[in-house]
Amino acid sequence: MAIHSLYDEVVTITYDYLGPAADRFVVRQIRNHLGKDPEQLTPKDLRRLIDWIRLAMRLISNDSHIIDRYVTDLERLARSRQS
Amino acid sequence: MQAQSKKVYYWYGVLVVIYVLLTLLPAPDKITLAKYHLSSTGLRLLDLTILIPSLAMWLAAFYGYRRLHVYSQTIRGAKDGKPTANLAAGLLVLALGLPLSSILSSALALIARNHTGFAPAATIISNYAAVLYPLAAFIYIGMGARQLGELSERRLSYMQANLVALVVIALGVVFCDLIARSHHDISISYHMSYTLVMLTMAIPYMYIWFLGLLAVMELYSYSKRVNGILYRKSWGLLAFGLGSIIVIDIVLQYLSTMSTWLNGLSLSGLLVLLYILLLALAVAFIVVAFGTKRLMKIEEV
Repeated sequence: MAIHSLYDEVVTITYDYLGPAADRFVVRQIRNHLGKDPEQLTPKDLRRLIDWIRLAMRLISNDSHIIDRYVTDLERLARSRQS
Repeated sequence: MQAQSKKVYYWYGVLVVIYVLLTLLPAPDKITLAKYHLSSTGLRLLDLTILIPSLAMWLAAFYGYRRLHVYSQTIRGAKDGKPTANLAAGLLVLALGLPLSSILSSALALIARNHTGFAPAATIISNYAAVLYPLAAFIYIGMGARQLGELSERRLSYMQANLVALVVIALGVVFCDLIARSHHDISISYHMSYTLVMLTMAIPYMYIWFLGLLAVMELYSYSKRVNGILYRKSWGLLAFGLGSIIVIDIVLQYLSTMSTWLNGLSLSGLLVLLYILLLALAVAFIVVAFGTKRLMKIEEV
């Protein structure tokens, strides 16, 4: 079974919201706001990344329902990685 | 990249100057003055009422193209980069083809006015130019739409494929019937034999309509089925704009081949039809620009 990095899991969740633009979006958030390469993303970074993603999504869309759902999905991932 | 893409507006400026000079500098055509019972000043004012909306529509076309081009350059290297670049290339051919074909027609008509023997050649060249640029544009748009379809891993449904075939057949049959009915007029309107018109005009037009309508279906399908709720919403507007451009362009091609019917319309009828089509085309190009702007937002944050 293939081992997925945390970055891959964030992209998989994002794919449901941003489709083919998901990978590019996540890479930009990690590089620009966390100053890291995507593969260096750790569970500790997730909370900060989610905050940045929430902010970025508000600039992209006015649909708060979709944004909340996306953030909830990411928070679920963060909880599962911390436990 | 932005500055480089702005170069298209210089081209727009050059084409506008050429077209305005070709339209307004030569003395008014006496045949047109007599046909519509107009004075020279009246014809000049009429020229302006067609010129200004045409220039606005061309500007909208260049604007729509530029937006899509910048987006395709931003995502180049990504899976959806190449299909989007092909769509942008198709829009560029349309944006350039619209003024270039008008300039060519005006220049040829001007030569034909002074050299009557050149009139048939002028008509034939203009007719083929009107076929060639949409053919090139729709090939690019069709390629882009197909590649997007492959990207979403969903093919057109059996129903959708059948619908495209049915519409193209219906359009083609009516088109060929119109040509056949005006068989005695063909030498006047096309300056070519019936067989040549069928082989070198009707077949390419039907192929263009097939490419265009297939692209509309592929784009519609992509915008409905591609993954990503927000990406899909943004693509919906872009696909609607591109689809509208294709459909309006097909209507324009259809009408341009029905010169006998158009000649029967009154001047006001002709103008109303022209304004509606120019406005619809301009709006469609602006919709493309707005759809692209939404997609670009995803890439900017």
